[in-house]
This record gives sequence, C-alpha cells and structure tokens, in this order.
Amino acid sequence: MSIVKQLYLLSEHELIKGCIEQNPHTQRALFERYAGKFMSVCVRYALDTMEAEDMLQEGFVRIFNNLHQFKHEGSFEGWMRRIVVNVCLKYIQKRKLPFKDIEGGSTQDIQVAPYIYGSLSEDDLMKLISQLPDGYRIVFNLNVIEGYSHEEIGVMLGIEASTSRSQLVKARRMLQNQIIKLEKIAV
Amino acid sequence: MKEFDKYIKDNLYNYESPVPEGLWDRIVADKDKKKPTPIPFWKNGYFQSAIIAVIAFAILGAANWYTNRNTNTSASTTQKETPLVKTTSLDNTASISTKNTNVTATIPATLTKQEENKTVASLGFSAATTKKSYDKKNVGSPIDQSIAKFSKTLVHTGNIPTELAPSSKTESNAIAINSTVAEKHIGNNNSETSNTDNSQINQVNEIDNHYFERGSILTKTTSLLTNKLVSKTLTDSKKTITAIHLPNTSAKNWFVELYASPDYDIKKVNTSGANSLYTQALDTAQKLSGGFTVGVRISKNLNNHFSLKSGIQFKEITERFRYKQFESKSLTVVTERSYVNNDGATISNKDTTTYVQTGYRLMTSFNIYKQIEIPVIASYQIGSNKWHFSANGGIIANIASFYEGKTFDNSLNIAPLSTTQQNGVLKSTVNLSAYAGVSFLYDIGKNFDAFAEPYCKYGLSNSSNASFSFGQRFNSIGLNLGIRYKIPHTSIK
Repeated sequence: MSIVKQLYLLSEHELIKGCIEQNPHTQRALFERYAGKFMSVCVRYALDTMEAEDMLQEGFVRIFNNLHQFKHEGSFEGWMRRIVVNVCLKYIQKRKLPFKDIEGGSTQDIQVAPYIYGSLSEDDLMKLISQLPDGYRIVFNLNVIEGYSHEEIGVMLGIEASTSRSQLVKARRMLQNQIIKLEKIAV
Repeated sequence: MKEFDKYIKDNLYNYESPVPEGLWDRIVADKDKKKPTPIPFWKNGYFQSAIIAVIAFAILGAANWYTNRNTNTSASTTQKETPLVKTTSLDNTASISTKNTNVTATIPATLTKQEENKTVASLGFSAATTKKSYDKKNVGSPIDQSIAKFSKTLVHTGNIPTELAPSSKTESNAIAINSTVAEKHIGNNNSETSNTDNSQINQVNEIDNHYFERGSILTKTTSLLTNKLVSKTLTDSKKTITAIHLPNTSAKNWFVELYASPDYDIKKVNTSGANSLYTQALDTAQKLSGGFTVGVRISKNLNNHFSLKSGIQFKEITERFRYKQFESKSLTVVTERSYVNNDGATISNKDTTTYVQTGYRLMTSFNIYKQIEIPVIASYQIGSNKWHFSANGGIIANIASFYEGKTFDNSLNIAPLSTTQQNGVLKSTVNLSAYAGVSFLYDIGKNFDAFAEPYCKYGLSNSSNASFSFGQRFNSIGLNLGIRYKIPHTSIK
C-alpha cells in the first residue's frame, strides 16, 4: 500500500498522535483531509481569497502548535474549526468590524419558496453570503453555520447579544432577497 | 426561518473550497518559524530537583566549612596563649574515675617536667598515680601544650564544673582544668598531690564518662584531641585554662539506618492528553489499596548537626483494578413439535431459535507497582542525650520500576500495565521525587537508636508510555520506623 493511501487511512487518533510527534507526513495528511473545509470557512469570513489563504495558513499553524492541548473532549474537527474561526475573527477585528444597520427594506422575513433552495448550488450560496456586509456576514456565519449563540457571538465580537440578533435578522432578510432576485433572473 | 438556516448550514458546513497550490509549503515554513515555545527549563522537574540538591549541598558545605573554621580558630588561639613548656614523656599510667562509674583507663601519660619541681599528682580514685612536674615560671597550661605536641597525653581528674559536666550523648566532652592551686588533692579518694609553692597545676576535673564508653580508652583519642581541642575559656593572666571541650565525636560518624514504612499513596493522573471519558473510567476502576517501603541508608555526619544520607529502598504499591469483561453466549433452542393431521399422518415440525446473550463479568485484578529508589537526603539534627530530632529533605530517584497487572488502553480495552508485555501501557522510566520528613530518634542502647520518621514524597515527573497520551505519578505519605546503628571507630589509635 502506498504511503499516500496509508496516510489517507489513518484514524483520527493516529493523526493526532503523529502530529503531536511532529511527523511531517501525518501533518500533511491532516492538512489534506481538512484544508478544503477550513478554506471554505475562511472564505466566508475573509474579504478576498488572499486573506482567506492567510487565515487558513495561520489556522493550521495554530492547530499544529496547540494540538497537544486537545483534550479529546468533543469532536476533533470541531476543535480545529474553532481555532480557524478564531483566527478569522482576529483578522476581522483588525479591520474594526462595523456593525451598522443597512437602511431600507422590511424587517419581516421573506418567504422563500422551498423549490428555490434546490436550484441553488453551494457555490451560489457562498457567493451570496460573501456579498453580505461584513457585520451581517460574520454574525450569520457564526450563528447559522458555526452554531454559536448570540451571547457567545457577543463575547467573541465585543458586541451586545441584541446587536448580534438584529444583525442576523437583517442578514437573513438580505440573503433571502438576494435569492429571490436570483430566482427572478433565472425565470 | 429555521428551514432556511438549516438549508444553509447543511450545504455550507462541510462545503470544501479549493485550496490554493503551495499553501502547504507556506504553512511548513511558517510552522518552523512559530514552533511552540518549549517548556522553560526552570519548570522542568529534573532541573528543579537538581537545583534543590545543589542548594542543599551548598548549605551543608557552607555550614561544615563554617564549623571547621571556628574550630580551627579556637584551637589556634589556645596554642598561642599557652606558654611553652619543656616536656618529657613519662610512661606513667593513670586510672581515672568518674563520679558515677568506675571506668578505668590506662593512660600512658605524657607529662611536662622541669628540673626544679617535681610534682606528683595522683589521678583518679584508683591506685595509679601520675607524676608531674611543672615549671614554676611556666605554670599554666602544660596540658594543652602536651596534648598539642604529643600524641599521647594525660589529662587530670578532679571536680568538674557543673556546666561542663558530661551530659550529651553527642559527646560534647569537656575537660575542666583548674589551675589555681599549687597543691591539691585530686579526686575524692586520695591522691597524692605534690606540692609546689609557685606552680599551678592544671587539673583535669573530669572526663566524660560517655567518652570512655564510646571511645574505649582515652589514649586512643589523642589524635582527635590534637586536632579538635577547643578552648572554652582561657585566662591568660592566671595562665589558667578553665575548660577545654573535647571534640564532638559524633561529627564524622557513620551510621547505618534500616527502616520500613507503611505508605499511603495518592496517584495523580496527568490528563493533559487524555480524554475525560478515559480518566473517568480509570478513576472508577482503580483504587489504591496500600503500599510500603523498606530500605537501608548510610548516614554520614558532616558536623554536629548536618548529615547526608543515601542508600537504596524498595517501594511497592498495590492497586485494585475492577473492570467489566464483556462476553456473548449463543444459545440455540430446537423445538420439535409433532402432530397428526386429518389424514392421520404424523407431521414433525422443528423450530430452531438462536439466542445471543450478552453480558459482562466484573473482574478484579490487583496491580502492583514496584520501584527501586535511591534517596539522597540532607538532614539537620538537634537533641539531647536520649532524644534527637532531625529535619530531612532531599530527592528520591526512582531508578527502576516494575509493573504487574492490567489497565485500560486508549480505546478502553484491557491492556497489560507494563510495556514489557505487548500493548502495555506504562513503561519503566527514571523519575524523581522530592522528599521531606522529620525524624525522632531515641537512644536505645550502645550505638543504637530507634527512630520514627513521618515523611511525604512528591512526584516530580510522570511515568508513562511515550506513545500514550497521558501520564501518572505517585505522591506518598508514610512513616519510616527503623533502627540506626553507629558504626564504631575501629581505626582510631
């Protein structure tokens, strides 16, 4: 069996152990296994691809350097993802994230017909999310995709939980508007 | 709203974006730049132990040097103030008694002698006498001179000042010398004392009874006397030496200590790399059920108070390990039914059913941890005749460990404890422990002391398999009970 295949078949425990021992092959295997997922995380938070690459790079360096602190409590992927998200937030905070409301539009949720969902690919959704204003996008990502509560988001971003809620509502509405627009264009 | 959120999460949570080429190389370069900060060397257990040992030795060395320096200074002072006396050696013998015990020592005496005066002093309570003469002009402290100059010396007997009475088992012996009388009876019984008008005779009042017991005969200690005499008071104007301390013969002594201790051990598991489920399972399954330590130490007195101890000891810890051994048993039941149909034919019907019963047995295993250790301990001792107290501190190096028993491996399967067996978990490593204790010693007879030494031992490093993501160490509280034997001075002449 080739070494590439062997590395591919490594269990999560073996990956962790190898990375703690600073085994370069295992580290590469870990990177190959999770880089795509974490790149998508970074892309959702970053302004552009360049920044996303920097985020991912720093995220993996942090993962390798702190792997010995992993206590096997909960999912390993979740632990790594939290590190990557924290790195992304660090980058965002350098930019002094504005949490401003965008004027206009109703505060009511827009009903999106279920069939429209099926017509959107993941790439479409990624594009739509990347077009959201920074504040909206960050809160939407953290709450809807990463699963953080508003209280946690408030602590992470240094804002009130109520601000996080309002940002989410507006982000969702804006995203739904974008989806409906896409539908109209498609029709 | 929830459907929308769920739709987004389902699609994007595991979505993979293309990873740019060369990113891994950048990570490798960045990773090498930002290697994790190594643990500071001062937080390393071995380093801490070494520092403790160095400090302990430095303190002991300094104390020893300081003590010796003082001794030398005192001795040299005595020499300076002692008038030179021409001496000749006499092979007289003297019998010396003490107040309580008639201990007779045959002493080839060296006495000073001058032409004009012939003073004969009868020493002690027995019949032996010693003749001594002192120079009228140089009366004073011929004893000191003779002690210093000759290897065989006589000391006088007489009444000993109370404060100089032999009292200490540590042999702070004293010779008191009264030199204010020219003619005096020495001792209670008798003694012929020669009379010299102008001379003063230095009289040794008493020599520690214990000194004779331990040192056997006085003559054999003269080399020590020469080196270790300390003048307590020297009145130059009267040419009188009021007291001379004999050396504390406990300094430089060697002791052998045999001891055993019941131990209460506390196991500390390092969970930095272990998941909580694993440590919880270990906590539930394992329970320490006692241990003991036996050992032998050699103790060397550096001076009256400080000593160093080292030796070898064996420690054993027993641990109860309970675990569930899962077992499955298959049971096949064949049921045969026969009946007669309407046509009168007998029909048999076999029904086969297989049951699989899964259960577990509660197994108990006793794990044994055996350790061979080298203690290196510094001790500070104070005390009186019978009782002594000492504070001890140092390190204990575990040079070898042997494990028997079972434990959980990473997957919570049962595995052998020792890595000497396949899939074993704990490997024998060299560990260090910090040691602190206090000793209470009681004189139980010639050269023997009994002692009790409550102590605590704190593990400084883990013993674990390097490929395993956790480590464990033992801390102990115990009570060493033992016997201390003083090795006699056989080489003193």
